[in-house]
Amino acid sequence: MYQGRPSLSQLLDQHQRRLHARNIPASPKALFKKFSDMAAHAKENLDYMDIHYTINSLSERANHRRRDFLAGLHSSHSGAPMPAGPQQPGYIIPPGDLDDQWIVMDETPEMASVAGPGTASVPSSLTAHHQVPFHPDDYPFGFQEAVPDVQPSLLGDLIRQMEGHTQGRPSRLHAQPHRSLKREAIERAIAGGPVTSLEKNHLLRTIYYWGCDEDARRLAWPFLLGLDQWSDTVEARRDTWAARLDEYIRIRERVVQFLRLTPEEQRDADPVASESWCQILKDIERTDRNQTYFRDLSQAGRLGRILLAYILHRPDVGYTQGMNDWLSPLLVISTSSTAGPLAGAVQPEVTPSVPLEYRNLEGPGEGLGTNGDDANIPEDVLLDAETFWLFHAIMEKIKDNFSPDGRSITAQLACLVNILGQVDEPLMEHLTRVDVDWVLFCYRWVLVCLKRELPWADFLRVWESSWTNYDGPNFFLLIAVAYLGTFREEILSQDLDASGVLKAFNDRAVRLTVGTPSPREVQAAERLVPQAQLLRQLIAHRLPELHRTLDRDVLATIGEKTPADPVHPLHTLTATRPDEGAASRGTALVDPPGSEAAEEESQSSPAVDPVVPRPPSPMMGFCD
Amino acid sequence: MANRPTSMAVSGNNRSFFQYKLVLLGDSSVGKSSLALRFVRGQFQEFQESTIGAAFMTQSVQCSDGTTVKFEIWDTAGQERYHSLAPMYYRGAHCAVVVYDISDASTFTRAKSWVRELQRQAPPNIIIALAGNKLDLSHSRQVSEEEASAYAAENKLLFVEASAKTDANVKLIFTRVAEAIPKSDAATAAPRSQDTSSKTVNLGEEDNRRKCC
Repeated sequence: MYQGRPSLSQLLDQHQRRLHARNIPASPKALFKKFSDMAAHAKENLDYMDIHYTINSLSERANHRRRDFLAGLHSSHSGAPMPAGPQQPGYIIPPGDLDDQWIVMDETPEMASVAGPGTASVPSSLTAHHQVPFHPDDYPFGFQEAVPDVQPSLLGDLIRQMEGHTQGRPSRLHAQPHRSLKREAIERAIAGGPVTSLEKNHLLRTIYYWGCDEDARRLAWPFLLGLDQWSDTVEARRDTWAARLDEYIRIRERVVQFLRLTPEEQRDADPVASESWCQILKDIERTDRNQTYFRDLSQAGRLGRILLAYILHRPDVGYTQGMNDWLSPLLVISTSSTAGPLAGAVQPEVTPSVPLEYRNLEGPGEGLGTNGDDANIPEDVLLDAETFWLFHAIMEKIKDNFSPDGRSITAQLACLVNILGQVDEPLMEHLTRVDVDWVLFCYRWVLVCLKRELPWADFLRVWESSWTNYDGPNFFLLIAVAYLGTFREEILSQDLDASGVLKAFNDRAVRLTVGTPSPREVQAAERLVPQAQLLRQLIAHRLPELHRTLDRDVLATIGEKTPADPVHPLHTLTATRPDEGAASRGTALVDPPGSEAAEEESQSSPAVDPVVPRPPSPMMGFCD
Repeated sequence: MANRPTSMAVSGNNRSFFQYKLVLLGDSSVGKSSLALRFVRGQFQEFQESTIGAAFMTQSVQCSDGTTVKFEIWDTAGQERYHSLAPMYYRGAHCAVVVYDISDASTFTRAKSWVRELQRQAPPNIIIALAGNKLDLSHSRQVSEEEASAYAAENKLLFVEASAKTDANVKLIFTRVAEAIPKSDAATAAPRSQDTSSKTVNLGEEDNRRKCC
């Protein structure tokens, strides 16, 4: 498993065994502290997988403990029997605060001599917890030989370690489809009214690490995109959707009116919309036609209807090529067999009052009509309404990408370049030397969040994991850096010049549509997402020197606020998280369980400013 | 690198290899990407997805004088909204292929405005070719060959009608462009190893090097 030296997780295990042998409880918080200290002393040769695994399992344990505690509370109030779950023999969980009464005890030399490795059995609670989320065998990673590199490259090491461990067999790191969010899980979670923050955390975390099952997306995405609120009751969610349906029906009325006009009349009536509509008509028939769903041209009709509805509803945004790319996956998702969010929202008496006959349309409007079968129309409208609002929500997030001044894209690209410079000096240096123009080659990556660069299932996974806001709103940029990393070897070993680099990027994208992508190019998200997550952890925890140089602007762009005091750069990455993620802090992997207290506070006073930096966490030790 | 011409005589002494930056411009869905895909990969997609931002590829052609020209092709997005990006792509370009759809008159109008813009703002000696695509749709032609050809002659443009779908004349567009670029000046280009700024090539002083077919 490892050569020579024990890995950090093994050292931590030994530490726990010793504590256990002395009957000293070890809270996740204390273990985090210990782990940070060990990591700080072993700055050289850190095994990133090992860190990843350990942080995850610790935070997962904290989460479990919390859940057990809450379950215990629940049963003591209701008199129901305590649900079965991992018990903590010998531990008394104090009500109110999970961490304060844990004994934080550092190992003494005396303890170490009494209880060496192997002299005590692993606590059952420990093994139980390890087995649930991350079995150590999932990470058979020991120390790697130091790889001679001219310059340090975090990204390069990371990729090398990951590839080295997964060579010849499927990546066990995240290739665990059974762990992705199941439709039943999300159905169950949202069926009973407000979703508890714990449950919400759990769902977000699942999506962040493993993505959603295909048939779970229809329910999960409205939450990810902020259309459904986790804290709402079932009735409130239903009412909101009913109101949205009404509004969509009104918008649709305008769509129908617009489509009844001849192209000339359209131009006279609404020149802007008319111009956009001409463009939309050109694009809808060639959107994702290699996908089964869009083989049939009738789906282009749906695409067109919804885009037209959007430009009529939001003339200030209008239509830009690329929006169709955002919309087409939503169409596919809305046809999944799962009942959509509107299912409960429609009262029997809600029937669309607008004329839905497109048949009098001629010329370019053809193909946009329904099939004329009245019985199917309400279903169409429901689907369109649902998809329209999802699309609207995405646009709210990213519409700046489409603004003509390009400022948003440029800012994101600057951020991407800056991150790359921090995590991969050799690659950055090479690209600078050959004078690559970043705007030219990464524009599309950012504009549609890698949709054109990755296979269908993979970009969906990339989208949803960045929408969880679990690691900041622009987690996507880290994925983009990881994606760039997939070209690293090719660029550096072949010493590609600027046009060679651009060509490599483009060729791969073209292969996806007209060629045969290599096996490594499909299922790319399985590598990219965890790599980005790891980068995030490493940026947050490991590299003090990195923090010192990471631009404040960059931190601001990736959704972090820099504190007034630059001495504690780590605050900037652990302390602030978008509002949505406030409740998820307790389980975020950059967060030690010590922050649970903060989480409790934020739950009791939701008005708390999410960007106020929290006090230093025990993980600070990591950077000392 | 896109900010300056990158043409160079790579093989130094025999000066038989040249590299030029070419930009494809034109209205949306006239077939810019299809022409490029056909030229570069010999493939055609009935429903070529719209280009967003731009795509980049390279392909070489042999000229009749025995030289090889490698094109760095920038395939741009056609939508007017992406217009503001276009200067980034034609800046420093040695040649531009302005594409229109022969079955859609409005795309020809748009092509003319691209030509005007290039004449005004692109590098002064840029070679411009006008390409009427979708020749396979000649039964529903809206732009006559004479009209387009006359316009091209008037503006000193190369002119070819082609079809990316049937592969008619696609390579011809690029070969014409390759042969139209004055290479005598490129012969003065510094070898690759020297400073980037001196790698650039003066494409010739006179406007009359722009030829019409």
